[in-house]
Amino acid sequence: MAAVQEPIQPGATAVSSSSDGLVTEEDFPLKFCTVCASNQNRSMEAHLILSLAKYPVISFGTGSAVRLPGPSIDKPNIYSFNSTTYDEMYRELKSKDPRLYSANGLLGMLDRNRHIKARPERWQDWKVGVPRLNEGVVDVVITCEERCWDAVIDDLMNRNSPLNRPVHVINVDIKDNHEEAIVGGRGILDLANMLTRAAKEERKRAKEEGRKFERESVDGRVPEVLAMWQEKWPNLPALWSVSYF
Amino acid sequence: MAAPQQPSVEAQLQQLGQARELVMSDPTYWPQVLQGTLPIITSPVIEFRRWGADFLAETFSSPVVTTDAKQSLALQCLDTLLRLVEEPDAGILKSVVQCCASVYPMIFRYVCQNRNEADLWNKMSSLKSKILNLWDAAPVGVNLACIKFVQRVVLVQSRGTTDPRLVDKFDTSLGSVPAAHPLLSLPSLDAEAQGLLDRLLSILHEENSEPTVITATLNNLAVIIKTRPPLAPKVLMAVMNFNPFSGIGKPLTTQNRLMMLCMEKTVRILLMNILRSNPNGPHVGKISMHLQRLQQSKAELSEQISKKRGAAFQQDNDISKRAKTERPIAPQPVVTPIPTPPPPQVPTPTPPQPTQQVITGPMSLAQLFTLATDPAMALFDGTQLPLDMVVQIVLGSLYSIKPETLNTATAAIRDRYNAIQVKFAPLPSPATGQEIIKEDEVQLQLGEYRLPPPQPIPPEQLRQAAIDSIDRMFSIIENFEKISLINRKSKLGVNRLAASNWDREGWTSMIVRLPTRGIYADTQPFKTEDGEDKFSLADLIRERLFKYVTADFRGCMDIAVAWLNEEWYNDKVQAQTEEGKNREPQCEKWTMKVMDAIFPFLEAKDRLFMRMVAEIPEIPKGLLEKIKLLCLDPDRTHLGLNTFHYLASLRPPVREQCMDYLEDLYKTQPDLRKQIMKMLQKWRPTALAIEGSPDGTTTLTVPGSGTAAAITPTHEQVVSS
Repeated sequence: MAAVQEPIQPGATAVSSSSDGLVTEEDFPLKFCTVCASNQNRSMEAHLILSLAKYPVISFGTGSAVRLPGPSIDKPNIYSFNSTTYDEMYRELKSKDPRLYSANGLLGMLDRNRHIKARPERWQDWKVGVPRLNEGVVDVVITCEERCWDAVIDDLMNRNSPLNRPVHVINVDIKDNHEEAIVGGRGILDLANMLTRAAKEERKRAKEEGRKFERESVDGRVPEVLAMWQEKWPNLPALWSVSYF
Repeated sequence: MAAPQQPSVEAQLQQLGQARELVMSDPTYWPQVLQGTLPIITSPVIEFRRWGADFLAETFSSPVVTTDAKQSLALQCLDTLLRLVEEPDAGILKSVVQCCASVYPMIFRYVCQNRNEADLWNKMSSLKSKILNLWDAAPVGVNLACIKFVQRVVLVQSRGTTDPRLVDKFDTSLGSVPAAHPLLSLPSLDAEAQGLLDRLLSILHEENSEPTVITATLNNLAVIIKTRPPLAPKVLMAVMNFNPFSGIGKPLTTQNRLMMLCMEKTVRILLMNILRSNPNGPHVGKISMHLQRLQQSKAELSEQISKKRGAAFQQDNDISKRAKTERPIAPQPVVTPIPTPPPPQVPTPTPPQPTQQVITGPMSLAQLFTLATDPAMALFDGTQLPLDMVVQIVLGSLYSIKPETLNTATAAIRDRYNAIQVKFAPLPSPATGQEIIKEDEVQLQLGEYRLPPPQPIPPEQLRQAAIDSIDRMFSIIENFEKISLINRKSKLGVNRLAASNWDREGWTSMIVRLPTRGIYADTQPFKTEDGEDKFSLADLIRERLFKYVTADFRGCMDIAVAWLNEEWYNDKVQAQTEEGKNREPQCEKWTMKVMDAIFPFLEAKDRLFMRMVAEIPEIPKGLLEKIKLLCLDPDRTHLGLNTFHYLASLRPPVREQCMDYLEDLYKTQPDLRKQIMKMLQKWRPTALAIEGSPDGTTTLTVPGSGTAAAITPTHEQVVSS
């Protein structure tokens, strides 16, 4: 586990989907992870949408710190990853300037986020494989910006894949604003649905035919599914690569 | 854990799930639980084998299990793995191979330290060969795991860095093998690794490799390049010979295009990662050149896509297409199999062309400046490259080029240019056979090009745009800080220019002059589809101004006054023109509208209102009427009377009218007499002299104001009685 400097409390963050009972693997053959720059807007919107659909999902940010808009462009509110909770940010901004921060949507966003999980987490500090409530790994990582996708692929190369486990890293390019995040979240849910459907089909085929392996995992179908998805969502340019944890 | 009564599969699976949850929450139980479940993992029930394979893979990849625990578990699991690797189920195989990728370095290290573990090593070797056999036949998911396994084997069976400072002690490599090991022969292990690496890299160059497998391979190479210096050149060469755009000839479906972009991006990140890890390494130059070439090919791809979308009927496509297909085969000095296009043309030391060859007819700029002898080079369209890359290339070549080469090249061009100037008269074009030249000629004879006039904007859209821009202007005013009226006044006096700077005053002048001077003439109604819709932009702005001013008339008094003054001025100017004769004057109309709107909100001591009344350009009769009504409102009598007073003293033209009203009030409203008397005394003493009060009391005629004080008590008595 190179590249991990800061210890974070394992299991300190709740995955909302798993809180409402047993999520059997049969229902959800794929586990997801959403990633954006600050783990605030796009990745959290997608986190919410996916977990409302009961998908096992976690989320991260790839930036060096959590940056939120401030009173002017040169005065952003900066918080550190893995420590400041959404709730603390919410209360701090509310006390600073309730009008400004409710007008620009920050308070609403933070309020949503604090009901999803405790604090923003940094991708680079994620100890892949360490159990978090239920699971320590995911099958699909969905980033929301090309820069983040680059960072994830690059980071996985640097980690030297201690788990030897394949992972699909998909980028869905979403502009960083509230409206686009909602559209992007819907797109991501659709992608998750399509991938999951393909995975179930492959699994079912494996069960029925039983004998010889004939594309019995979803991996081989990702390019085709992604292309189909891209035709449905032409305004969310996609990128994809198979990497390893 | 196998119960004697054989409970149902579901129940047992649930039990296994609970066991897994236990080790997840407390990893110290992990070895124990794994040992307990090993017999179940190889049971005939496929569900158990599936679960077991996943659990094995998880165990050896989990960071919470210590390395020592993993190593000792690995020794016990080989038999199970050997049995599971025979499964036909892709899910099981995927996990088993993943597991082996983790286990292989552990076993290797163990065998290094324990020379007599021949049995163990044989088991591992047969696992390895089974996996390698699977590699070709297995479905993609298993293939992905195999690629990882092969990467691990290559890493283990090759030499790491020789620099002792950089050696990672957890890294297992051929360096870990002690001398004269009975089982591990260095040359054969090394040879095997080389062979496997070749096979791995061949994925990048095979015709039918799937992008899934290709990106997975690429993502495995960074570690090999970084930690195995002897292998780095071979791997890098393979990466650079890999052409992510090889699918460009195939039908350009969404999937093809997307996959090409994904592969290109993966190569790019890999190369950048290597560059960053060793910015002074031996391959930096080559890598950055390759990155530029990739960029270029990517630009071409996107161009091809846009071309396809744009003009399906374009015939000239042939030329550019031919140029495109030709280019990859075009001169490639070092390595022939590189399918990516060669670096773009730079002034290479080609001998200058004989000048007489080119002065035979009209020529394009491109021809004039092209010195390349190679037709493929000459055909290259530099405009296909992104501008920043062109700048980079030009700067780079200017730095590296020999001065003499540059001089001869410049001289050659200069000669050509002079020759053309001499033979300025265009000759009939010679049949050179070069299609591209014909095309250029056509372009040269086209003459001046004018943009077609824009489409007229439909009135509805125009109107909406106008409304939007007006809204925008108001929002700008809103954003300025509200400063008090006194501070706001410009100190420049008459020298001030309206709207000389973009402050609140400037914008205010702009807005109020828009309806009065800017688009005052624009009163033609817009024609809409369902007949005539009477809409005047000027009136629209007036309406907005009216709303804006009345929303906070105390804060916007200056705007109101400025506006009404402009209206007044415009009325006067318009009245002097022919067509303005019939125009409805706007000043009075809007003055009254504003007043109607603010009157209900006036307070007893509204000095600002008085000032406003004093400053508006004209006082219509209706306004005086309204002020009179104000006097009748017991709450605001004072304000009304004061306003009359103010107007009478400071605006002489309306003094007489004010006095008429006051006189009228004096006669009809005995309650107000006392207050009015002073004013009448000053400007219309006659009214007091003649007047007999309606309630019967007589008033004395007082000549001169000096005696007013004497009368007051009397009057007061009258009023109060």
